[in-house]
Amino acid sequence: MDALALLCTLHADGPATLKRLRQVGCSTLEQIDSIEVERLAELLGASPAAARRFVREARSLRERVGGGWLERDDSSARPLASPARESHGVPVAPAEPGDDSVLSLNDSALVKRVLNVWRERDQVESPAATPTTSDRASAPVVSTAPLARTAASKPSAPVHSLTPGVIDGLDAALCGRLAELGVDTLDALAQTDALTLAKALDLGYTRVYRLQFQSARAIAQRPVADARSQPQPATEKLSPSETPVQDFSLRIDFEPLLEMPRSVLPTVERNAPTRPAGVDRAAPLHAAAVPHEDAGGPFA
Amino acid sequence: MQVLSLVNQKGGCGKTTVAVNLAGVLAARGVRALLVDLDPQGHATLALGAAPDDLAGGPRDLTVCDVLLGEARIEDALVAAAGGVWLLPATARLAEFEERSARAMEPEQSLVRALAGAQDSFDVVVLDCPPRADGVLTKNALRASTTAVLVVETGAFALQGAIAAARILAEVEREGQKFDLRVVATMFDRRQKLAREILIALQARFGDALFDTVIRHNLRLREAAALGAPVAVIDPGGLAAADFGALADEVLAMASSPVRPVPPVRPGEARLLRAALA
Repeated sequence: MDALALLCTLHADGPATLKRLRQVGCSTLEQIDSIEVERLAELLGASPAAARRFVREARSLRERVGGGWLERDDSSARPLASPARESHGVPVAPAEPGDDSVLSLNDSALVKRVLNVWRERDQVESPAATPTTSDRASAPVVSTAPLARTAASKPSAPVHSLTPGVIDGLDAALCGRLAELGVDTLDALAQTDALTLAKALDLGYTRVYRLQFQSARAIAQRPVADARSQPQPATEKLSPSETPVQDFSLRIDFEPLLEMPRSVLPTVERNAPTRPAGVDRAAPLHAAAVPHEDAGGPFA
Repeated sequence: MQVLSLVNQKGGCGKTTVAVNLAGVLAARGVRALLVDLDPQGHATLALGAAPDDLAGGPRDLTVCDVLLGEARIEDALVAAAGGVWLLPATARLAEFEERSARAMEPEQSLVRALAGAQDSFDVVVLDCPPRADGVLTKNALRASTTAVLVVETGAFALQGAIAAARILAEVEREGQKFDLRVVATMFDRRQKLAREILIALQARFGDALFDTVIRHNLRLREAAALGAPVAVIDPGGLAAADFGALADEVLAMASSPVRPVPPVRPGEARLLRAALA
């Protein structure tokens, strides 16, 4: 299956669309861009808006399948290294070769060991920002420090403040509770693990998921306006010697999560703290909760 | 003669559905298609309207078991089934072959010998394997195959099952049997994000070996199985028939366009795939 066939299966009518596209000489995702929208709409048997969406999906898929993220050789130094771990470069104990049946991350002892490594690394990198044991009791469940540092390293990046009414269902009380958890921007809300946030806020998972969806949409619709009105975050003061962290993901304090039932741990662990390039939200577990989500294709 | 064996050690992934309806579409196009039911459950036999209970003890009670044991010729056991498909039926007695094969010489060559007698009678032979990739029946199928088609459901555990089956197929290949490995994704529902992500992962993993055609989830397929006929007979203008029509196009084109070999399974790959999906 080539990428064009994949696109047609995911976002169009499968073999029928693929056949029509190939008949007009379009055989790659790149060539989708060269077809006029009206002509593409005719080929798809859909509206021009649907055709434009199809083009967008083609670009998105081109980035994903072109990344080669499944082709990496994981047999080298760090067999346990999920994409999340690789981004932090944490040296972790190797898993047994060929142990595919069980995720080693399910083991709470291993989680604790990784946590210790992360904490040591945090102390080395930013000793002033490291919370003490007493601080941790009142510390937010979700730490936004890396996100804020990233934003500070890119002054022109738009920041979307979290204010009541900015998205549906976000009232002042909920804003306050989110702020207590350290989630004070739309970006942070959109990128925080939904399950963790739902537990911390004592809200339903689907409601949090909905809030995240609206946040992502609001960010996409208003990228510049908020950037002008948003004050600079307090955490932007970096010493000149510090290297800005090129990591847009959030890091989650796992300490409260260790109190949770073991069945929750894989969910949290797999979502944190980063995802591989080109791979969006955690698919399997979220999809199980929302089984019939809109595919977003022209025929949806 | 093309011989396709539909394999996966995972049950319920659509092996029988693909086998029956692919054979049905091919027969509807005038291709001489034979379906060999190698599953002791006999579901392919049922899905083509030939009840195993009627075969057992009936006037023509010869089944694939007799053929594999060398007690009957293949042409004597064939049944003209619904939709113009020729069927080599199976009953629960097929388990007897598995038992007796332990005492036989080269039991995995039984199907090769049986099909040699039908070499000129059919264009395409479809082998519906049991949900056990390392059993003697599946080994028989793989020995006789020109192409092994890995049937992968776009649902939970699909990738793990596919990788495990690919590993077993690679072992069989190392034993000297050469066949092309192709992968077909089934039960696809593009409204589900999980299904979309799994399909993307399958495309990334198997590349050209993955058929362009994905069999979409369709209630007509269940109805057709219940009615004992291929979907090409029950609903020839429907989406399911269109999917299998496109798959048949690819199958018929396979002989002239070899695909890139599937790369070998690397240690820890299942874990990497799972992490990439999360």
